[in-house]
Amino acid sequence: MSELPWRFTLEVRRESGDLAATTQASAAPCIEAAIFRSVWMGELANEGAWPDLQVTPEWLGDGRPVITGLAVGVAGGTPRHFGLEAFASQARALIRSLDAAGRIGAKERVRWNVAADPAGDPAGLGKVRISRSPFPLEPADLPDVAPGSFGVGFAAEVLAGLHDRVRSTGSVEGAELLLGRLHHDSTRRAVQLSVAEALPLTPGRGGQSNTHFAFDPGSFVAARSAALARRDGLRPVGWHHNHNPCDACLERPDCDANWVFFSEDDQQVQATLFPSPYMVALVGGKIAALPASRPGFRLYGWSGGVMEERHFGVTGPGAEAWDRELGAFADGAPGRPPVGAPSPATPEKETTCPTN
Amino acid sequence: MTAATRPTLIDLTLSDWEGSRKAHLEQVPATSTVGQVVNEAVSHLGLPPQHLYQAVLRGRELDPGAILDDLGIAADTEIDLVPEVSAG
Repeated sequence: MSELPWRFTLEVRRESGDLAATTQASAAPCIEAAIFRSVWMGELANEGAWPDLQVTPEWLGDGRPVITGLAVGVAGGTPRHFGLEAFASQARALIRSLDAAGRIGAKERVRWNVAADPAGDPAGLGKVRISRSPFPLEPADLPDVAPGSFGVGFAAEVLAGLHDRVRSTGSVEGAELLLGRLHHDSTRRAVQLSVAEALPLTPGRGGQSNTHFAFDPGSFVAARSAALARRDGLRPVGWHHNHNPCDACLERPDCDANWVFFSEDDQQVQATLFPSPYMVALVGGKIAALPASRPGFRLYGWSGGVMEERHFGVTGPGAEAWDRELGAFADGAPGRPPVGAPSPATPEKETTCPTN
Repeated sequence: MTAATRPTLIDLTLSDWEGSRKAHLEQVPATSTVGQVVNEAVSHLGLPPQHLYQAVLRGRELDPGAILDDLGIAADTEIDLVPEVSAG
């Protein structure tokens, strides 16, 4: 990202107040969200250049340098506020790494905060210049997307293919790269992400199991090359993976276990592989309201620098049937959080189903 | 350091895997390791630093401990930066 006037540091402290660890904290999700919003609302040209940014720490009382959030203004526009939740995923990743390394006790309570200090001259290898591409917005008329909003649509055939793939993988997780287009109605200030294809990904060195899917660096580069080679304008816009039921769930049609959520590991995948503010994550698998033989889906996307569940529509032949299927676990159905509400506290999938 | 022992300086570009953001490192000593240039790029690109990132050159994953010069990496090479992460 461009050189910011502030350096943000994540601090993990023991109950005594002693520092357990510090690391650089990235404000990139906030910066990218602010830039994307400015382009989307027509306040900034989509040229890919770094705009003039006004980044202002919001101090915790007189406890400087500890912050409660930051405000990001783009090209002189009204600053947007970002709370500490934008750093929470990074904090949890650091705490988990400390736990794994035995640097904090198994039952030790720790807390984290973010500090901001004036950025000095970086002591690096040499001069570094950062460039960014324009957002892949294509002009379009979007009469069905509310002014000022961001809609997401999946082609019915994509959902059908993922549905079949989820069912065929048994109790093992799989993952796909989602390809699509990003349309922009500048008059209505509306954006629509249309997902049109899902490319299966091969697991990496860490393999795959009932509780994880390890991404292979080489397969991502290969998938990107494959997408570019298609020459149909589709580009990577997110990912799908499945949280499948355990074997016992499959044998019990009345099982009400819910495996479809956005886990802490999933947060890390999104932050590192899909950080662009328009990129989404679809999770398929066992929904509480449906038997294990009928996988359901939930969609998550960036909102203000954090991942939240979001509504999506279905388009193309077969869309009506999918609307009925998705309605089976729509708002108010068991196990369904309200659309737009923050994700539940990033649960972790257990190796043993709690209902069996 | 004399002119005879001064390391060669090269320009490199490290890109996130989808190519939307790129870190252009200028005048990097060719005696640097792959891990050093990866860490430099991760920091400037604003990627979460709590993860391991793999440098991929033309589909080949580079050893983080390898020296750029030993790998024959020439000026203006573009390297992909891909995290090693798992979904849960």
